Amino acid sequence: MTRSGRLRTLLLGLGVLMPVAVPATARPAEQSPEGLSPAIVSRSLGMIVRQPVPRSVSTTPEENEWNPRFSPDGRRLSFERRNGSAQALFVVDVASPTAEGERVTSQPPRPAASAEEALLGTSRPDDSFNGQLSFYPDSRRFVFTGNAGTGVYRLYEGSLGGAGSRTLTPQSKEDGHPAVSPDGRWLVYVSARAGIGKLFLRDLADGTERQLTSGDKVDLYPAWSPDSRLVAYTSGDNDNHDIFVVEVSAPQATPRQLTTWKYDDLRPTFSPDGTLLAFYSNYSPSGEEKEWSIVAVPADASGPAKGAALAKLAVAQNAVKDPEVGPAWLPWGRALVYARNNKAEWNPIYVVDAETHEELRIETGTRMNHDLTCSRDGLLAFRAQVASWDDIFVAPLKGTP
Amino acid sequence: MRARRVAWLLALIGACSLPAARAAVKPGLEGAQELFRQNHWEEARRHLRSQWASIPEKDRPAATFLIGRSHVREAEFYRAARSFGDEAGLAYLGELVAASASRRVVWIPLFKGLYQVDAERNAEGARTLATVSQSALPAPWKATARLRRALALHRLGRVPEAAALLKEAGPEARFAALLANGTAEPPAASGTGHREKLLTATVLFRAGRAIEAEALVSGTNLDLPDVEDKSAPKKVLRFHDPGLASAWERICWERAVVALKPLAASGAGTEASLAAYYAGLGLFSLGVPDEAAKLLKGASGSGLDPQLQPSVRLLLAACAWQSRPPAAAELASLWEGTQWQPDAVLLWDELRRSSFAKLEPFATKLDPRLRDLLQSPAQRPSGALVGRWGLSRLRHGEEAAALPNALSEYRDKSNKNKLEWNDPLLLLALSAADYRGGQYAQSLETLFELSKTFPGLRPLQWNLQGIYAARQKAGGEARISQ
Repeated sequence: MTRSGRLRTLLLGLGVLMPVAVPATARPAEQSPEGLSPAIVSRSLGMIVRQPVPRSVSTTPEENEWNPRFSPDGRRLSFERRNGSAQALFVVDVASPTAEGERVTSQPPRPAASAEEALLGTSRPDDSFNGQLSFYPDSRRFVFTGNAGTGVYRLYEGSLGGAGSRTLTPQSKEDGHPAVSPDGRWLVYVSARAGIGKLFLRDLADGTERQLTSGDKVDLYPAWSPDSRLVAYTSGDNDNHDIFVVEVSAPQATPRQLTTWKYDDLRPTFSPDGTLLAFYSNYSPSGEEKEWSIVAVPADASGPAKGAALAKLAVAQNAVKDPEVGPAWLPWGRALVYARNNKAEWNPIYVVDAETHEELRIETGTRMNHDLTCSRDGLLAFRAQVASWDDIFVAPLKGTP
Repeated sequence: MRARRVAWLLALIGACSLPAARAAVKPGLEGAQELFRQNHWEEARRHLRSQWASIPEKDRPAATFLIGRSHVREAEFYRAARSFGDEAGLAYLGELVAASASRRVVWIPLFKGLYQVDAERNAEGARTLATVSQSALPAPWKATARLRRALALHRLGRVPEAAALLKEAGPEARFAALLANGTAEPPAASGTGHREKLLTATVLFRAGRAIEAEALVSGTNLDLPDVEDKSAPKKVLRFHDPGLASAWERICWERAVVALKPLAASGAGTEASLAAYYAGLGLFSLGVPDEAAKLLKGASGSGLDPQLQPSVRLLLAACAWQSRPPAAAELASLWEGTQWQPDAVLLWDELRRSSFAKLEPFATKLDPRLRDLLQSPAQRPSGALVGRWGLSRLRHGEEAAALPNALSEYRDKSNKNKLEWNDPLLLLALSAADYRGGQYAQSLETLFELSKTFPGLRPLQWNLQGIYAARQKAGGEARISQ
């Protein structure tokens, strides 16, 4: 038993720690006698391609890439890349992934500060940070976090084929995590302009804004419900984070707390039908604090907020935690795709049914998988290691049932 | 609240710590500029030279300037490495003397004296090397001791005494004479060993015989020890002559002058004025102030960047100080006109000499200005400037515990020691600060990263490793394969 496990046992014995029942172990899909053709019970898992052939979308093999995000129409994929001195965003056409794609940055071209800089080309590098791109429903326009090479983080807006990006929050600072609502009416984002991160809601039609959350906790990772009515987010401090949901249409709406236990809960994402919320939690049936589970709870706050009942809703154990992307839902049914934290097997990819907990391993042949996300057409995008570099791959997950 | 803000910011930027990447190099000047930006200076030059025929005529002045400027950057780097190397070398020898197993090794006084002279601790160096003549060293090393002592005596003003000793004809003598006088007659033969070749090359460069000099330098291994002592069982002691590091620094400056002087003479244009400035800086550093002044005057009269004008003005004045010590009024006026520019302030510090330490700004004004140099810059200072500042602070005994934090503010957070994202001078300053603070493993780790690109750092690594082993029980864990 690990040290933390022993400590937990001791605390449980003393009645200090809340007893949490270990849920039933996730059931692997039944194996056929040959061990080759699992008999799938879950309808969500029935149409999964178990050995998809991944394609790299990287055109520069010696640059690290991460955080893939699909456009709503599933035709474009954005990701972040260490590019020269910058962390730049790139948007590629999924249909022709070998194309270079469009580079997105918050830093306008900068003239040389001196004649020597101009001669040596040392003024040229874009050294800005750019990331966290969120598409508009038209899949052409987008919002992202950038610092224009200044150290002040703001939101920027741009469009594919457009003439550069413009600041969306010029008077603000420490803005990030933008998310455009699926109906294109709202933008929710985090800003620490007043000291700690709080959620702000911007009406994209008239540019008016209001603060969506208050209090002394840090609010992060806002995510929209498919009907653009709710925003789920993480709130907490250095010791603990919980999951909350707030309704955006009611200006005075009080956020509802979905989890109250002592575990850290991070980065909620809504299921495609809006009924479930999945998030990472460092609750682990094994008691190992460094292991993360994926928990799926009812999005209407009707489910348990703590204890054994909530623990039973952990659908995947020892998952790789990628808070920039969040748990990835399949576009059909109520199933998630995730990477298991098993370095000996290069973080293999699994699909799990959030209701039955039945799961299935996907053989991609890639190594150290991370940052999984799925398009509306069932195309999986993820980060994997090639030599010592991280590249973005896509692989079709949707086959015939 | 502060902890929360930090946590928030980390979450905001994703706290991504993926390693750095190097993209494929573009052809021509653009590719060389990219390599230069990434601090791969040698590669940048090789890239340009291999494609020279296809570089358009309009890009050639800029390409030539880049070649010369890259040599200047190397020279500055090796000068800083040499200063750090002298400190570590003397400390390592001190540890050997303190250890019963090695204190009687005959090489220790010799190399101690060589390091003292290289660090311009001339009186101590002369005394230490005087004792070596009585020891059981081989004759060639006794000659080296005698000649470096002569150099120390020359610097101490005992010129006739030094001149008599420096009359010898071999590479060692001519090199010592070059350091003393700024010029020397090339030896009749260069010798066959890498030491002799390197020392002879410095003299040939100064005599205008750059092609012959380059032929001698080709294939030189700067990392070889000069002496391996196996007198103690189970232990090999390696000693490195700091004179070779000094020779290598000179060669870098000479290469810069060779590249930039014709460009400076080619006439007008930004490239020409910048080339004149850096060639002048090179010649000043090589101890040829009259020739340096001619180029600096040319740079001053042309349309040079306003940012460089204070340094030109200061260097021009300093060219005259070797023959005529500066007057207080001259220094006061110079200080007023130049102290606004951070590069010039660091140059003031590098020009500091004990002979005019009591004059302003050296007496009281320079140190406070240096201390606060990075406090309120108009724009983020370059890594090179921060590195020079850090090394300056270390020279003046800045509290070592605070300096790594101050320097780390300017280090690329996600790529820690990677040369592509961090200026080599900044990394060297960090390594030196870590060494001062007793953080030997960190210091060695940074040096190891630098040594992947810059040859000649192995002596410094070796000495640091020896210090680490002597001062910390865990020293062996940081062993660098030799």
